[in-house]
Order: sequence, then structure tokens, then C-alpha cells
Amino acid sequence: MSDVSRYTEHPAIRLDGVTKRFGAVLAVDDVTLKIEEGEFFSLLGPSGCGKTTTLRMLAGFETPDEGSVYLRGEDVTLVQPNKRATNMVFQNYELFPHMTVFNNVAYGLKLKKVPKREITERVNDMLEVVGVGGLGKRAADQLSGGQQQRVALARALINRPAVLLLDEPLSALDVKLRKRMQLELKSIQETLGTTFVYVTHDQEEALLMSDRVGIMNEGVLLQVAAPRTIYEQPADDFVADFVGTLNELTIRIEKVEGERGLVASGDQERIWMDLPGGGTVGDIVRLAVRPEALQLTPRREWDGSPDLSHTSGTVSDVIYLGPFTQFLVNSERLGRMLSQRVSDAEAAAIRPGMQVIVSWHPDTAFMLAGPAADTR
Amino acid sequence: MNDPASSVAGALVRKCRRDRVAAWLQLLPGSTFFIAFFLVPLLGLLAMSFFRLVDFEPVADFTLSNYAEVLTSSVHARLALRTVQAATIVTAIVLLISFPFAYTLNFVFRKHRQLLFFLVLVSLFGGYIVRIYAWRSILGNQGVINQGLMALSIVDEPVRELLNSMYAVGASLVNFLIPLGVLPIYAAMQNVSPGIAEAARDLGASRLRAARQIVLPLSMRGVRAAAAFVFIATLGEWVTPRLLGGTKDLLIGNRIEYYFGASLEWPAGAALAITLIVGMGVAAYAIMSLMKRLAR
Repeated sequence: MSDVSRYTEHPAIRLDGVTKRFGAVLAVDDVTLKIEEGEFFSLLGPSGCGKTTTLRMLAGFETPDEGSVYLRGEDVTLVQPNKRATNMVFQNYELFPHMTVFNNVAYGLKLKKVPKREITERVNDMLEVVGVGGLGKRAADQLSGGQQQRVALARALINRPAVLLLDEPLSALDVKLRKRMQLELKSIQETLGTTFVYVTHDQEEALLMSDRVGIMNEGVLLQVAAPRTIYEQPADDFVADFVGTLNELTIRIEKVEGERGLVASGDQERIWMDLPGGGTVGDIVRLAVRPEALQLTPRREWDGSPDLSHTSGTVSDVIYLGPFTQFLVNSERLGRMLSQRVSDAEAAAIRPGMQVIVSWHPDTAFMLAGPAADTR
Repeated sequence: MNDPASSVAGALVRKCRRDRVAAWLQLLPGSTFFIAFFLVPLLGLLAMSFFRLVDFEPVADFTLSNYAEVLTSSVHARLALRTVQAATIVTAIVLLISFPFAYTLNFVFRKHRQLLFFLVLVSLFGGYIVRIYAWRSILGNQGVINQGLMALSIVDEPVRELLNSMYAVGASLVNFLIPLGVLPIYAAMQNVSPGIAEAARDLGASRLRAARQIVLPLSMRGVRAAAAFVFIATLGEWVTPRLLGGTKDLLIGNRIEYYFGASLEWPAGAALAITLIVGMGVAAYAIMSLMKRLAR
């Protein structure tokens, strides 16, 4: 968009030490955050983590108890929602049921006293963009869930907001439609170049659509990073556990070689890990590996590659998920581990009861802080 | 043997029949009461309105003279006009108070709405006559308002026009009828999503505009019911003007009371009452359709 360049000296959104309490509950705790112009930014976290409250403070429906909200460099902390250049797509859409689709979408423009002819043109264009062209005359309460979602999007986007706020907009749709809308939303965002702030509890959705993801828990913003970084280098245990599935291995360091430690060795078993802060023999550490990083090799085919961390085990379950297959492996030393791989011929050859070597590249594992949690 | 599908269907039919009988039985106590204590007396009233009055005794002798008298009297025309005026003003004031009240209850103080709603209901427990006497002591010469005005030296002697005036009647009626206004509006608002006003605000509407353009049309059914309740209740009033109004502030209800009481002209009273009932029906219908049109 042409007018984006005018604002590049300021981020689209800046939150500065924003705190919000509801009675004794600390809903949002000292959140500081910058969202750049044109970015697709997701706030991800479990329900009650403060992500929706944060979004509502961006929209102006809640006022922070402490801190400030800046929109394109302007302090809007106390500005009413109707005076802000933000628009929102609500979780339940909140379409006006007594109006037609056209009048729903035109509502914001009418309030701005845009000339009638321009309204007609822009509304029809926007209905095309979101894929409900031709539904303008339909009553808003006679739409399917997916259509309502698109109309809600059009109603917000037509005002050309500086930032579009989306509060779990896809959560009411069935899986198939949701997947399709995820891609469509992303493509609409790229076409229009509008800054999107997207609240969701669905980590897959956040990773798929976002340029950057902010992870929240109990009101605290734990990590803000690109999806790959969030997934591969989670900032803390909560992030690691919340995003994706984790194998958590609790093991004892047996040998230290510089910044690298050998945490277990034995017959058909070697586990390496990075010890950036150094380590001491005898320390108990918690190692995390993603299921898709775990390779399974039948024991008799194992070539004993020394650079890979590996341990032996028995396949207890094979779970076929269509494109992927998951394997539950019982390791004598490390307990139950979950491995996931593409459903190919090799995967099909692995059957319950098989003796296997579970291996992974040491770089794909990361250390967890904190005490050993109860095993999941 | 019966085939299983038809025996299931038979059982279903029997069950439906049983359910329908049960439904009628459930209606029985209510409808018996309604018929015995409302419909029958009303038909009696209708019959009475065609009776002739002979020596202060209603005689079953068909005549339309009661209606002729009722409809041609200029006193009645004046009283009816004043009553409709009063009902319109009271209805407007009650709606202007009730809608924002219900709105605030449902959208602003959502957390405490049960308590606030209970407070509205409590005012219904107060009792009609008690409330009227309460207004007498508020507006009277020794009342709170006059004593306050005098204490503040705004007036030297009590304002006598406060009591026994149309203002006193209006204040008491508004006070009495507010719950009747709030209840249906609040009930209708239950079906309006609390986020919908936010959506309008988000799109640039002020609070007032969001309430008027979005919430009001969506709760119009309740507003219409409230308007009809309040309007009709005021049309039939006679106790409040009697106790709080001056001699010039009587309403059409007082005239009916006069026919049935002091003057013992029951057939004329019945004719006036029937006329009023029909008039109310017409008025209620007119209000409903007018407001329906306004909501568009």
C-alpha cells in the first residue's frame, strides 16, 4: 500500500509497560511490544492468558491500568474505540442481524459520511475481495458460518484500518473451512498490506499464518519471535511445551567435553547435548526433542553413526494419521518417547514390537530449565 | 406379529396424543380462572352497556342510548383527550427512562445486573396506595421538596401547586410504571449480543449512536411491549388522579368510577368502559404499528 511508507518511522503498534487488572486478577502484566507496519502478528496462548484483553486494549474497549498504547507513534491509551484507526473482527462476528450484508459492510463508511456512490463501489469491491460478492442483498442472519466470517472481515477491512484486530475469528468454523480460511486470511493480508494482530489459542494456526508470534501465559508476554524460532528455540519451558509436542528426557551428565556434554552412554546408546554454560558430571538435566526430530531405525540396520544421539527401544504403538505416522517407543533408559514421520514405505515397515534405535541430531534438542515436571 | 416399525410408530402416536392431553390439562387452571373472573364479568359489562336505566335500576331492555350519551358528551371528549395526552406523556417519559436503564443494566453493569434487576422488581412490591401516599408526603406543604426549597430560601412559603396537580399525578404514574417499562425492554435485550454494541463502536459509532442504530432496533419488540403496557395502564387510571390530582386533573377512568359510584348509572358506565376497552385496543395496535414503522 502506498500510504504505508509515510508511517515507517513509527511501528504500527507499540505497547509500553501495559498492565491490566480485573479486581485481584492480573490479566496483562507489564507487556512491552512493537508490531511493525504490514506485519501479520499473532498473540498465542491458552485461554485466560491475557491475549484477548491485550487485543481489547488495542481496540480501546479496555483501558490499561498502567503503561501506554501507541498507534503509528500516537498515544491512543485513552482514545475511545470509535476514534481509533483500528477495526476488529469479533470472535462471534457480531454482525448486525437487522441489516443486509451490504449495510453491515457499509456501516463504517456511512458514519464517515463517505459519498453514496463511493460506498456502493467500495462495498461491492470488498465483498469480492473476501469472496462473498453477490451476497450484498442477503440478510446478515441468513448466512453460513463461513460467510458470516467473511462479511465480518469485509466490514472491518473496508474502513482501511491502520491495524486490523482479529479475535479468534476462525474458532467457530469446522476444521476444513478453518484451514481454507487460514490461507485466505494470509493471502488477503498480503494483498492489502494491512497490519494484522491475530489472537488465537491454536498454535498451528499461529505458526502457519504469522510473520511473528507472541506467546502469552498468565498475563506475561514470554517470547516474541518468528514461528521457526518459537518452535526450534523456545525461550522457556512454557513456550516449548505449549507450541508443538515435546519429548522430555530427564538424564544425568556422565562426561563433559568443552561446551558439549555426553549425558548418557552405553551399549547402543550415546546422547550428546550442548552445554553453553558448561556442566558438571553428575548434574541431572532435562532435554527436549520434537517428535519429528526423532528417527527410527530397525536395530539390525543401525550403522552406529557416532555423531547422532541415539538410544534403543521397542515400538509399542503405531498411530496412523494420514500424511503422518506417529510411533510410541519405550526406551529402557528414557521411558516413553513419541516419534513422528511422513507416512512412507519406511514408516510402514515399522511395526509394534519391533526393536529400534531412536536417533536425533544433537542440534535439534534443547535443554529445559526448571524442575522436572510430571511426565505427560 | 406386528412389524416393529409400525409398533414404534403406534407408540409415538399414542405418546403425542398423551402429550397433547397433558398440555390441555396444564392450561385448565389458568384458563378457568381467566374465564370465570375476567371473561364472564366482561361479557356482563358488555350486556349491561345495552341496558336501560329505569328508576336507578338497570333493566334488560336493549338500547343504544348509553353509547349515544357516552360518545356525544363533550365532557367525555375533553376527558378522553386529556387522558390520551397524559398517557402519551407518561409513556414517553417512562420509555426515555426505561430504555437507558435496561441498556445500562444489560451492557454496562453486566456484572451486577442481577442485583440491579432485583432492585427494579423490589419497587413493584411497594404497593400502589402506599406509593401514592409517599408522593403526597414528598410533594405536600410539609414535604421534603417544599421544606428543602424553604430551607434554601428559594421560596418563602410552600409551593402549593406541587400537590393536587397533573405533575403529581404524572410523577407518581411514571414512578409506578417504570418497572413495567424496564421489564420487557430488559427481557428483549437478553437476546442482543453484548458484543454487538462494541462492534458498532469499533466501526466509528458513538455510544449514543450504537444504542440507537443497533441495540434499539434489535430490542424494539420489548420497547413496543413496554409502550403498550404503560400507555394502557395510564388510560385506565383513576386512583392516582383522585388522590394526587386537583379537581381539574381527572381522567376518563374517574368518569367511569363516577357512573358506577356516585351517580349509580351502571349502563352508562358500562358503555363508557366498553368504549374505552375498544379504544385501548385500537390505540395499542396503532402504537405497535407506528413503532414498527419507526424501527425500519
